[in-house]
Amino acid sequence: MQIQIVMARTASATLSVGSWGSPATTRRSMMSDIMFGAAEATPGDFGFVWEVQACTTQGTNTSITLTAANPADGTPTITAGQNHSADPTLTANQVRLSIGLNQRSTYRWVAPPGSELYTPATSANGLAVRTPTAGALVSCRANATVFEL
Amino acid sequence: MSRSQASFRGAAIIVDPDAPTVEMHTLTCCHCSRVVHFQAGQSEADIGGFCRLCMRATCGPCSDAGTCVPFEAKLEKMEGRRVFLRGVELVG
Repeated sequence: MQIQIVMARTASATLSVGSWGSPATTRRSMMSDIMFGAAEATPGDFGFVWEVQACTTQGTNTSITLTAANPADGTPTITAGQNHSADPTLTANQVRLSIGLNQRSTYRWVAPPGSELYTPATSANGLAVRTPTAGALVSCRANATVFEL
Repeated sequence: MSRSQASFRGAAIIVDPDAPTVEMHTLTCCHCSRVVHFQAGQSEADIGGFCRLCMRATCGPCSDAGTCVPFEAKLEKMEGRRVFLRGVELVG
């Protein structure tokens, strides 16, 4: 089941932009595509470091209602949230993707088939999108394509 | 990199209004699932290594570690606790 997860927040160096994870019924997921950058606010000439890091809990966030890209697939069971007020519990040394960008830049990564980023079928385990270095705190947005397995 | 390895390359693009668009290849480490960015012509030693058991590319730190623990094995270990509890019927 293909799901598009759009996450947004005012950038924070300590709180994640968004995250998604396995439901209590435990399902694996894989991320095949992600795009992120500054959003509707006017970005300046500052640096951002964007990271996608494994997490074992989802923290406290604003829940995102997920819908499958194909309506015939039903309702997704993985959970996702954005604009964290309490950060997910991040797994040390499990930064899967890290890139430094100018705040004005947009970045997109597409995984080759078979080399996507997988998350385990363990409740609440998933991936978090973060900006651990944010030169100026403008609105930012991440758009991930995730498959529920 | 061999043609078979080329099929494991991902793609990344950075679009900046004040700079030329940058396109890069990526590979996903078969041991830690880290995404490594590289550009055509870059030294393979700078990109990482190659695991001859997985027959897939690895990142630098995993290449330096010198051991083969496929990421699938790590996922199964993470999931192992629940599998065990389900096996002894402590969870559904």
